[in-house]
Amino acid sequence: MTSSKTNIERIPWWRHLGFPLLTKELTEQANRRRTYVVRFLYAAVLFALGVLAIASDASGQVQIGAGQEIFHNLVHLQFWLVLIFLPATASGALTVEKERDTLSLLLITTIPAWSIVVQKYLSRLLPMLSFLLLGFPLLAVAYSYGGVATSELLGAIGLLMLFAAQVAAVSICASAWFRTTGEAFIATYVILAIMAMFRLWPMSHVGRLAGISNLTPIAALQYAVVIGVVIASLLSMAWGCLERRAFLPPRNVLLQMFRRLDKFYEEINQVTGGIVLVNDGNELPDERPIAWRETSKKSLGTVRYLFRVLTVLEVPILFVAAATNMSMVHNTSSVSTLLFILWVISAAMLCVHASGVIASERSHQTLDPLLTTPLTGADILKQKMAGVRRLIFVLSVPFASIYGFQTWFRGFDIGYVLGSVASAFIFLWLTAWVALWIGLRLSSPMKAVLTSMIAVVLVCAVPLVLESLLGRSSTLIEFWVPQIVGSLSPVNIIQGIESRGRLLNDSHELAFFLQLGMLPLYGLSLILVRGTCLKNADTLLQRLAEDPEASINPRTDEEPANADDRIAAPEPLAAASV
Amino acid sequence: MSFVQIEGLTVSYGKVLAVRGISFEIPKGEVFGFIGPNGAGKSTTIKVLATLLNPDSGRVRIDGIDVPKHPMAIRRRIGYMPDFFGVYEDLSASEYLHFYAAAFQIPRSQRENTIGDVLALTDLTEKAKEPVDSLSRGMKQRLALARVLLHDPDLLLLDEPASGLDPRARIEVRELLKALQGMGKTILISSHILHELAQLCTRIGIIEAGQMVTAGSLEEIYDSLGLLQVVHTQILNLSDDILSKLRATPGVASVETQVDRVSIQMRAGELTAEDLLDKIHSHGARIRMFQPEAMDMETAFMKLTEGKTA
Repeated sequence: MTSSKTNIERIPWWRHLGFPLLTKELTEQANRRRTYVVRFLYAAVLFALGVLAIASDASGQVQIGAGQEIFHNLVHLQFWLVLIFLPATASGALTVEKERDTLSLLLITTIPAWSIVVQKYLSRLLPMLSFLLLGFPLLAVAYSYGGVATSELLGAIGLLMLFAAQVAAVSICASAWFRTTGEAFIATYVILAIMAMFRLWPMSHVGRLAGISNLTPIAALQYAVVIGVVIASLLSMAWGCLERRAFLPPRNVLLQMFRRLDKFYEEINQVTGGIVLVNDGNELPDERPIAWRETSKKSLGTVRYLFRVLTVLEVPILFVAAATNMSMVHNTSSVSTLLFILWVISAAMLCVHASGVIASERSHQTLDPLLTTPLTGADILKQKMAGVRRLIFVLSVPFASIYGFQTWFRGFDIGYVLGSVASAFIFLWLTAWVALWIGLRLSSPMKAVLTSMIAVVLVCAVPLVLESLLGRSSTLIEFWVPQIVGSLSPVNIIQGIESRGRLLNDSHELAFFLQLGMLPLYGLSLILVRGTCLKNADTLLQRLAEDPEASINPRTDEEPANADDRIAAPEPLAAASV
Repeated sequence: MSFVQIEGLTVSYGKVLAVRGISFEIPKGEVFGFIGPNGAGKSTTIKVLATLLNPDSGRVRIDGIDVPKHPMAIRRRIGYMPDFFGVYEDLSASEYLHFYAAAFQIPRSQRENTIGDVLALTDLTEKAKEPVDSLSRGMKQRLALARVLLHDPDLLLLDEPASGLDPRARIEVRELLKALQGMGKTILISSHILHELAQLCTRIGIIEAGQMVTAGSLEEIYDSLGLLQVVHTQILNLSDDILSKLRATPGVASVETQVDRVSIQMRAGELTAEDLLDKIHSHGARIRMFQPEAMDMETAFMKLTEGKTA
């Protein structure tokens, strides 16, 4: 033992620079089809938006000096793409090894911990840098239009690379600390948000890109050194905790959080003498066992937890409404802001809950036994949605409060009332069913949650981006096309309904009806998605569906039907046989 | 007519052909052992029977009912236990069984009695109120068996029920399966623990690379392979005369004297252990120990398979 350890210690540090782990990681990535799909998607998004930006800004004729705005848009776009793509790939670098129990195998090799961290870091950073290279031709086009200084171009490229290096370092640090990829992924964004607050990231310079060209070489170097120190510190932290946190037992973070919350509430409840407002109902299932579990055992389904959620959401609304009523706040826009915050929270909660109902059963390997019960696929899905239905019911209360207060403050308007109630009903249910459908198609709950959230963001953002890009080119496209495209975004629809009571003139009236007209489209989508899920429930759940062309009698033709077929009523296990 | 009939079953996952036209039958009340290396197609075949996978081709019937055409009717007749026990960490053992009793549409008035019965049968009555995730792995396996018995199915599909269990838990599960066999259940069980299957199964099927290598009773398989059964015996008045008479006994392949025993190798098709015992007596030998070895399934398995996967 001692001699082998001594041998390992004698290996000089430079011998570890062969980076076998990096070679293996890059080879693995090259062998995966996903790598090429992601690269294609990245390039497709980048070039599609880039070409649109160039086409709309140039307006069909070369305008000298128009390059700066295009350049800024493209750099912004690259920053956002790094922010979206890199944590998704890098936060799993070490957690995947933990989840597969392969980190221990890595740690017993002669590769030191610092080298594992560095190799994992580079294995995620290098592909991202190659992604960034894809955007350089577009930057060159923008540069050729003029208006961009060479130093500005070089500065932006440097910032982009520095930013990618920093995001990768944050992801690796989170990956070394946390047990699961999901936890590491969320932690990456939390850390990045904190860094953004303290302006400890290059993205804060993007807003004033023009200023980059004015940076002296020394100031630029100083800034690069600061970010470099941040990156080195993050990697050192990852190195420090890699071995200590290599063998963490798996745990359900959400469940632990709720249990701690329970304990806290119980302690507080001692003050009131242990009053129980709502009892969590049935102890045992009736005829709908899945619905029973979803509403009495799952944390986001029980009345107790939902009541707490309702309290957290409702109190600020009541507070702001009271302040508005007492003229402490002079307009109703603060209530509207609350409405948008409520929409974001509601969408996130629905994505988490609805996408996980089936995906979590798959990941816990509890779905197969459930699928061999005589419950129909549609029934399983409907029962699974029982908890989501409760959540939507609870979320409807703060929505109703906001709409009620707005009607009170602005006066009764049937258009506003109908539009707001319909938008809440349609968008909440549509989010839930789309998330469920995504959860049915993906095996990992984390992937299902993220995909659902990305889907919601895309549905909201894509029409807005297109509206913005198309709107700049009035000569190429008729003026009403961008407006119609923009009206497709739920953000515009909700905003349109919300501004209904305040801005009543002809153009806003037209926009309001245009946006309201899009609601039936989403209503139809809801019916389609729900119908598809229920109709193809068995196939989506991955089990055999009843053959519609099969005879009613399940017995074959060769064998006559048995009169005492037990299909209708299963007999209980006879006590005598025990 | 056999209770389970599989003819020319073919199943693929994308381009990978997992099961390649296998056929076998299981008569009612038999325990069928499904043996094969990892990736041979055992779990895939069981999943087809459990209505979880659609076969590409072939006929699959349980109790005369076509499985792909009438999956709902099949689900009432089978109890499926996968190779991994997924935990509902928010339920107790009793709640877990109540959950499945309701899913199997057992009338509410009968549930308490039925659950009491299956808990007693699996020796889990005292653990009824314990959370499922706090149970040991052996207890979880027994709880899974309790679950599959709730609706009193005719056919039990057990995928590696003893995998990962310690020796005590394995013996408990084996005894439980013997009790179920005594209750007349038809059981299809896949396992890697060959000698345990030999003690339990009335028929076995050996599958490799998605193809059935052989199927039948143990004796039929040993006969077809020309395998020998070994009997260890201690004879107090051992002499050359007794040894030569033993060697001349029809069905005995060889007799080997060791320090403390005589090992007799016999051809199972020609001579049974009981007949051999009578013969030794008739040769005037006084026997202190007579111990037939369990049939050597490992030898049969190694002889029939080549370690290929689908």
